[in-house]
Amino acid sequence: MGTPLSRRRVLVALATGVGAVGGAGLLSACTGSPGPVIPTATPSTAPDPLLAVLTEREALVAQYDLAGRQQPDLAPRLLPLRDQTEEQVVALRLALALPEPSSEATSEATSRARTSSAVPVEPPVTLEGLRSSVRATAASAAAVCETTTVERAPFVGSLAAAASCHDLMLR
Amino acid sequence: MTEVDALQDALAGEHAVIWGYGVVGAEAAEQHLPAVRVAEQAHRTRRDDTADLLRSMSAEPIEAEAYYELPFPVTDPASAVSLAVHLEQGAAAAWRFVLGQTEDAELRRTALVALTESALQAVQWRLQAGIAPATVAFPGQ
Repeated sequence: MGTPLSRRRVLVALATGVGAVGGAGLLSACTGSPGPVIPTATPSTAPDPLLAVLTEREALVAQYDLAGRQQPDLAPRLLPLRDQTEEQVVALRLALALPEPSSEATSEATSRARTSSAVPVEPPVTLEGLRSSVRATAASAAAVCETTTVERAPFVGSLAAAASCHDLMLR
Repeated sequence: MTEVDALQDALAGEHAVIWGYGVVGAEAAEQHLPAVRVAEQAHRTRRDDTADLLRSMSAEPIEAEAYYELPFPVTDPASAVSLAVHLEQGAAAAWRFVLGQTEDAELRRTALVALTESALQAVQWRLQAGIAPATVAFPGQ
């Protein structure tokens, strides 16, 4: 074993959220607001597979926002899931070393969203539609988790598990 | 750390979780006992599967301890459910850690299934405990 921590201590370690006895160092290196610091991938000509994971979750945040506007009674149920998905988007952008969206762009998007809520041209978002999107994000993160780097695998696996949990909450 | 070491840590975690569920069952409310039994059985199955996997890698699975320290007193149904939440969070963390210790796709699938099932069980216990939100952004972290 690579760690000196006694097995009797494991229950305490588990229950205090430290996790695997050998994982404490890595975990502490990967925690912090707003999300984990993940080493970026080696530059490559192929698109980074994490980009697709990011794009899906950004679209999902927009879908939650739209659902909240269309069905305000669902907002209390959807808001925690929407906010956690946004946290994941922030962490993914960090992992991909992408700049944060500018406040101007955010403001324009918000303005467009408000306009579009006044003129409802978007198709209605249903819980089943949200579930379908969430399940898709779980599947794609799980697929990336199998082949990504050892540095990224815990992060991407966590994203897959989170989506499965969100799916449960939308049932 | 090798993937065998990481799996041994995950196995140690499963031993501890099974022991912990014994405490949870002793203090849990009557209506929660079926869920406690199901959750404990899931970890017994995972423990056995992990031990088999280690043997297939020519490693001797570590044994359970006779006693584990509790992180906080468990004296009533509420603290029992709190312990269940913490146990599942810990198991999720252990399996999340395994993901970063191997490049083997099959082992990663195994670890991801375990991480996900513990994360889902933690959600169920948080719902029982009335903890909101019941989900977290990064299970196992």
